[in-house]
Amino acid sequence: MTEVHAQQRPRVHSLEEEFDALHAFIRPKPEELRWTAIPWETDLWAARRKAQEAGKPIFLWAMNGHPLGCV
Amino acid sequence: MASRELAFSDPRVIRLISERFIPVAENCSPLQVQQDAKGEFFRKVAEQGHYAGRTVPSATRQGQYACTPDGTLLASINTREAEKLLGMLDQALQRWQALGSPTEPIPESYAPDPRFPGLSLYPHDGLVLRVYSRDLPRAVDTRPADWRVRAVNYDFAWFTRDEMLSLLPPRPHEGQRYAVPWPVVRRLARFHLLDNVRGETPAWKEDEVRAAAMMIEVVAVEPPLVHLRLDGTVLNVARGTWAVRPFYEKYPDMERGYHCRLYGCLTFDQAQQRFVRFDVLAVGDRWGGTEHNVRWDDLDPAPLGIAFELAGDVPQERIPPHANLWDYFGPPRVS
Repeated sequence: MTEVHAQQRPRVHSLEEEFDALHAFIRPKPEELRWTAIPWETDLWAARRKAQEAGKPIFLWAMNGHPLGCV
Repeated sequence: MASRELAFSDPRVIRLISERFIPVAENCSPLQVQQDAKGEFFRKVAEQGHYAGRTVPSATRQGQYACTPDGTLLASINTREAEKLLGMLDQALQRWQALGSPTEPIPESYAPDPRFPGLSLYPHDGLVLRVYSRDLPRAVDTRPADWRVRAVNYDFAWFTRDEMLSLLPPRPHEGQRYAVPWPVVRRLARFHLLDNVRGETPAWKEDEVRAAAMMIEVVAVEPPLVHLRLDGTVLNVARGTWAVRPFYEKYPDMERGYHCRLYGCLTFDQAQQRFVRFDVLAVGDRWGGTEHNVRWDDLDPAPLGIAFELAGDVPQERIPPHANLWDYFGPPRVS
């Protein structure tokens, strides 16, 4: 196990007492989830077929890392 | 990552994409290399776009593309800015009107490249969690007052049915206390106790998990529900040579780490054989940075929080974890 400098040690949080508040703080707020209002497909091939059927173009958001997950 | 908050939270962008396009989001890292019809289609589109042919400073093809179902590019860009994205969408729609919709049939399926199992490993009968990471408030805050202060990132954690059931004792009774099995500890410590608040970062290697221990206590048994409490600590430290800015020089003797405490409230429904609550927190200090996690201006120790909760079983939440899935579900450490 590595010796960790004192200032790098986790600050003492009363996780039991602060649990609900901390969980709520970390979770995204509604205004941070606006982008999820777009009805994202998650498979480019399925989106091709759906676009063909609907007579619409495809909008592809492609990132190194999944745009709906960790990027 | 900031494009979620900036470009894709603009109501004009949301409306235009939702109404006039079939929107799809995908990880282009596999699409750039996978040897199957979907990969070929992506490359056909991308090689008409903003990064066509580019190899320096990287060969990434990430960005936003509008195309026809047969792969004709309408417009593309890589931007976080709503106004620029709106311009690209307008251009795409004008070209779409000029071109018209292709009629060539698209095959229903194709033989996928087995090197990228992705969704095929989704644990339908297991445990799937949302994972959120965010900086916690600081006593002295020197961060710029921009998206970096508000940044939150997302990921998903997957556990097989066997791994999920390993969190329950055969005959639970109040006061029982036992260690969380190593495969679950390893999964959380290596792949999810990460500083990806501002951007993606590599998973910890096996030997970078310097210490990890998690315990579960049976708090109450109210058939069919079993209420559990999870607690633990993890210390992850990596040392080596790497860059802390994309495409910048690598420096030796770098260090990054995360030293956290975990606490969680879990409820298992024995009748449904699934968790109905899985709220877990990791809180501690992170330090250092990696090439893509945008910490070059924020390398000193500072508090980081990571929250876990149950995910929904909808397509938009069946997103594979960011990690390499072959390593993710790898064998547990023997020791």
